[in-house]
Amino acid sequence: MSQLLLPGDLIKGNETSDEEISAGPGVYCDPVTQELVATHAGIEVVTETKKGHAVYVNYNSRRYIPAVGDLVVGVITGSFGDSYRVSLSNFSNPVSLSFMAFPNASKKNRPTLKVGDLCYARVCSAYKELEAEIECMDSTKGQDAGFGLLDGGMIVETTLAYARELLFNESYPLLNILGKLVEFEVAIGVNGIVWIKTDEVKTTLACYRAILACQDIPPNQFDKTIKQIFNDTLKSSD
Amino acid sequence: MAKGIEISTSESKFILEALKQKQRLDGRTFDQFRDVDIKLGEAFGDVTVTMGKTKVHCRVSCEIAQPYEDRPFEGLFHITTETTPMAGAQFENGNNTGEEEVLISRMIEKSVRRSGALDVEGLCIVAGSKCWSLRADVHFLDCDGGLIDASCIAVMTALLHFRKPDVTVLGEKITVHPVDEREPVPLGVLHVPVCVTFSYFNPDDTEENIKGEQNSEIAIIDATLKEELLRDGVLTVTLNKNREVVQVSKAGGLPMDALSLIDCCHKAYGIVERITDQIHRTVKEDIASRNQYAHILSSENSRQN
Repeated sequence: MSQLLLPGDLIKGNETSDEEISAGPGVYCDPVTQELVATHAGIEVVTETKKGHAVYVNYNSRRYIPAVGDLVVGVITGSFGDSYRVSLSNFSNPVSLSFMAFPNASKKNRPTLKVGDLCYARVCSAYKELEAEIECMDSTKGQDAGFGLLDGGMIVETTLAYARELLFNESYPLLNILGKLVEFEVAIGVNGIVWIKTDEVKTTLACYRAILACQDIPPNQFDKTIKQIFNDTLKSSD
Repeated sequence: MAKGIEISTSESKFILEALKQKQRLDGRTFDQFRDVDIKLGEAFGDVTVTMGKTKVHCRVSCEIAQPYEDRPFEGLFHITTETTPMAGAQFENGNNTGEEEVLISRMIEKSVRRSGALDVEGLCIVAGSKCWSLRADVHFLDCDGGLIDASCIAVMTALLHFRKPDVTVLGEKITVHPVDEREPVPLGVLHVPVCVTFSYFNPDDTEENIKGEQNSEIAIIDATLKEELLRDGVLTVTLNKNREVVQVSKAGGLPMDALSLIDCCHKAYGIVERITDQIHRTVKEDIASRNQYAHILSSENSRQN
């Protein structure tokens, strides 16, 4: 049974023990009283960690706020000096992608992304008061890790909770069902952008519609709905 | 319009490629208008029109005013269309000088007010001194394309649905009867203009469009926001059920073949006919349902007395 939290609700940690609690998204630590307060309405999630436990609120929204380590899909909107300006969601502050944050990058070896290109990247710095930064490589190993230009395909704008579910929940059936019907490439950004590409326009279109439709229905109906959408889409112009 | 909406090259290429294969993102055909849902509020002249995700609300209200000196026999009629960020963050608050905003308000103005859809002479109470001043306030609640079409439907439905209080004139004295005292009177609507917007896409390059032999331009009806952002040209035709063209507007954009423009008008007529019927039906049903209750209420009242 999960607990619904509303903004302002106190989160009761394990007060008796002096275990450390890490506060995640949707949880605010009052600087004066040191109390944990929920800032968003959603489901409370408590997970065990090495040091103690972590608590966060699983809430749905559409506006993305960058956090370090997030995998995101962005659109290049400009290039300035030695970095690209990237938009992660419409009407939000742009983030920057340095020319050096690519695999094998050097002063001479510049990346070749153009304005309007889509790229898959990881947020590497996200301070509240500063412009967030993203990178197109795994900075721990300094090598290519599937990041970079997303060529062709189509993007689907989804809510953030749905995108997280698609990316992190391995038992979420959507991608498996799609995989049985068609071969595809997919990149999921937790900023609510899902990029999908198949060999043909029609199958991509069917995937696009399937992903959008499944946002509003429970997972046990996915199978039926997706098959229906594929049938309709592939038949439509014959 | 829409500063701030970033569309990636992949997305625009995909949408155009899909159009070449006669596919649209939402699964409609090229000539398919979105289903129009018209909801009437409790007050007269309170209308909400929904087309897909697009949502427009219109409210008609009236007051007594003095007519203009050069038109002593005519009442006043104003339409305000103000876009706010509620419809989408691309609209600026209080900025009605943007290209999109001006286009919407001019189009509604041309289709409804200047086409004489409303009988303004019927708004006159005493020539030269007293008349009704009618206002139609259009509120854009949610924008997913097709704002012009939706607001035209909303304004016309609101005008058909609106009732103004009854007045009696005795010499210089005017009595406005409250609604519960005397049945309010409907407005004189002379015809019902309906706008249909076509969006044009050029699948080939500009040279092919200008010099090319065949016309391969793609025209779709009632574009969504994504399609509106990517289109190369736009045509809005306004027609009414009497098979008359009220106005045609194609302000620049992709050069179009004249015959295909005529073809568009024919296609639009089918839609206009259907929507006009829907508007009349909705208003009629609403009035009928009101009368049904009025009947029950009044008979009960008389028994108590």
